[in-house]
Amino acid sequence: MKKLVLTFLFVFGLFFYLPQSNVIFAAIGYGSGIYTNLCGSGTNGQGDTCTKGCDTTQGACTSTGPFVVKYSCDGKQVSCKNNVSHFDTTQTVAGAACGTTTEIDVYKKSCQTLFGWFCNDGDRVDYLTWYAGDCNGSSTSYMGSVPTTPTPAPAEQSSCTSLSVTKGNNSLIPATVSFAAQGTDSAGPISDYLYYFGDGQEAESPSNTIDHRFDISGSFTAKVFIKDAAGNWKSSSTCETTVSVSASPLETQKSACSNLFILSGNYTQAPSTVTFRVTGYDNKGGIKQYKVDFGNGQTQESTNGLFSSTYNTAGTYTIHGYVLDSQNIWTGANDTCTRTLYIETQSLTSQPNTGSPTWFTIVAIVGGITGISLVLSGSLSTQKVVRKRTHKKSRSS
Amino acid sequence: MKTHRTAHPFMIPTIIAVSLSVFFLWLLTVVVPIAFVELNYQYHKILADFFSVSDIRGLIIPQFRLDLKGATSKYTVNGITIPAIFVDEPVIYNVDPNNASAYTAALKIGIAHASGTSFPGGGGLGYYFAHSSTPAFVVQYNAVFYLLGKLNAGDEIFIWHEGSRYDYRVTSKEITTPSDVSFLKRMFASETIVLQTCWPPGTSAERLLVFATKE
Repeated sequence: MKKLVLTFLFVFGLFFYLPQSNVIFAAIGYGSGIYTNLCGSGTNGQGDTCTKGCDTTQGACTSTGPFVVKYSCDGKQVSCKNNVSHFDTTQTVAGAACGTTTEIDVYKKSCQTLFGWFCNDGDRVDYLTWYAGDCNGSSTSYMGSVPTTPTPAPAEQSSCTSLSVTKGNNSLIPATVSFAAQGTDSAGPISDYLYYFGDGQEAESPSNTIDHRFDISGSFTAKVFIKDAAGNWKSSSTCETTVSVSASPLETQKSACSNLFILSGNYTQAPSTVTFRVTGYDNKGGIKQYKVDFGNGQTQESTNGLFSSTYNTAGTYTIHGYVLDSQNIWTGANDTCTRTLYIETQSLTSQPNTGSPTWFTIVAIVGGITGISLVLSGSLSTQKVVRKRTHKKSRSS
Repeated sequence: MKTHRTAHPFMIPTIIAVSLSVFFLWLLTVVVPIAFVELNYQYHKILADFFSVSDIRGLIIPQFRLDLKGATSKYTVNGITIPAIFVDEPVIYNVDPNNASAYTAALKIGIAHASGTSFPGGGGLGYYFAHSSTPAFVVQYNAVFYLLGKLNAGDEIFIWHEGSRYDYRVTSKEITTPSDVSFLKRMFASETIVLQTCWPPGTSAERLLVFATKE
C-alpha cells in the first residue's frame, strides 16, 4: 500500500511539474546564462538559412560587413526585438545585465537606411537569443524548446534559372514571341515574373509564360526577374535570352536604349561596388557600343553592356544608360534607361543643425541686458554727481 | 586697519563693451535677417491678400497673375518654391546630413537635400533642410526656412529636380528633439517630402518638420 501511494505521488508529481507543451532539454549555456533560441531550433527559424554568423561558444555573431544587429529585452524571452543597436560587423552578448534577454541577428546586408528598415525575413541568415541568468543567482535551468544540438534549418534558396523563347523567334514583324521562364525557391512557389522584352516594353505576370508582340525588327535582349516567397526580385545571367525578329523591307532605321538594370549594390553602404547592365536594339546593324553615366561625374563604355563602378561617397545617384547605334549616334537616358541608385551613409543619429546656437542667443540677450543696465546706471549716477555738484555750487555762491 | 577693494577703472567699461558687442553681433547676424524675412513676408502677404498683386507695381500697372504652379519660379532646374511663404530658392541635392562642414557649405547657397533620401519622383521620402537662423554673414540663406512654421495643411510646395517640376501639398507639422530621427523610418503611403529647420528661430533647441505628400 505504501509503495502504491509513493508511486502515485511520484507520477502525479511528474505530471504536475512538467509543462504541458514543452519537453525538458539540457540547455545550451554560455557564461552565466543560457540560450533560449537558436537559428534552426524551429522556434523562430523560418526564413533563416542558419548558414553563417553565430557562434554559441563565443556568444557572438559576426559578418563580413556591418550586417549584425543586437536587441535587448527584460526577462527571459525566446524572441526579443526591443532596444535595437546600430549595425556592426560583430555583436556579442557580453555586458548584458542579469534578468535580461539579448538577441543577435545577422542579415545579408545592412537593413537600416536613412529612410527606413527595408529588410524582410528572407534577409536574415542567422541569429541567437540568450538569457543572461536570474539576478538572484538561482539556477538557469531551462524548460524550453531549444535542442542541445540545433539542426540548421534547411537553407532556403531561390534563383532565376532560365528564360527561353518557345515560339516566334526569327518571325517577320509584327512578330508575336512566346517566352518561358523558370525559377526555383525552396520556400514556396514563385509568386511573380517581371519580363523585360528588350524593346523597352515590360510586363509583370504571375505566369511563367508570356507572349509579346514586337513591332520593330532586330535583335533584342530579353530578361526576366522572379519574385520569390520572401518577396525578393531575382535574376541571373541565365535569365536572359536573345530574340530575333526579321525586318520588313520597308522598315526605317530604329534604335533605342531598352533597359538599364542595377544588378547589384543598390541600397548598400559606401564604399560600394555596383554592377549595371544596359540593353538596346538597332534594326539596321545592331548596337556598336554601350555607355553608362554613373551619376557621379564618371562615364564608362563597353561592348557587352556590363558595367561596374565603385561609389565611395554616400548619395542618391541618377544613372543613365546609352547605346551607340549603327548610325554612330548615342541614344538613351530615356525612362527605361534611367535608374536611381541609393548609396547609404551611416545611419543619421541627429537632425542637421540649422539654427543659431541657443547659448549664443541666451548670452547675447543677457549681455545686452547687462550692458544696457550698466550704461543706464552709470549715466544715472553721473547725472546725480553732476546735480549734487551743481547744487553745492549754487548754495556756496 | 580696514582696506577697501576698488574695481579697476576699466573693468566696468570693458564689461559694458563686451556685453554690448555680443548683443549687437547677435542683433546683426540673427535678429536682423529674421526681421528682414518677416517684413518681406508681411509685405508680400499684404500685397497678395489686400490688393491681389505680387508686386508693388501691380498697384498702378495692370498685372497678369502668373504665379500659379510656380510659373514665376526662378530656380526651375534644381529648386523649391513655396508660394504660401514666398520661398523661391535653389536646392543642392545629395548633401550628406552627417557631414556638418558639407551641409554648412551647401546651406550658404541654398536648401540642402539629404543624400541617401529619395529624389523627387523616386517614390520614397525626400529630406530637405535649411536654416531658420544662423549667426553667419550669409545674406540670403541664413533664415530661409524661418517661415516654415507659417505653413498649413494644404499649402503647395513645388520642387524642381533636373528641370522637372514635382508638386506636393503640406499634410502636417511636427516639433521634435534634434536627436529624433524616427520620421526617417516611418512608412508613408505615398511619396513624401519633409522640410526641416531649427526651432524656435534664433535657437537650435528643437526641430520643426513639415511633411508634404506628392500630388
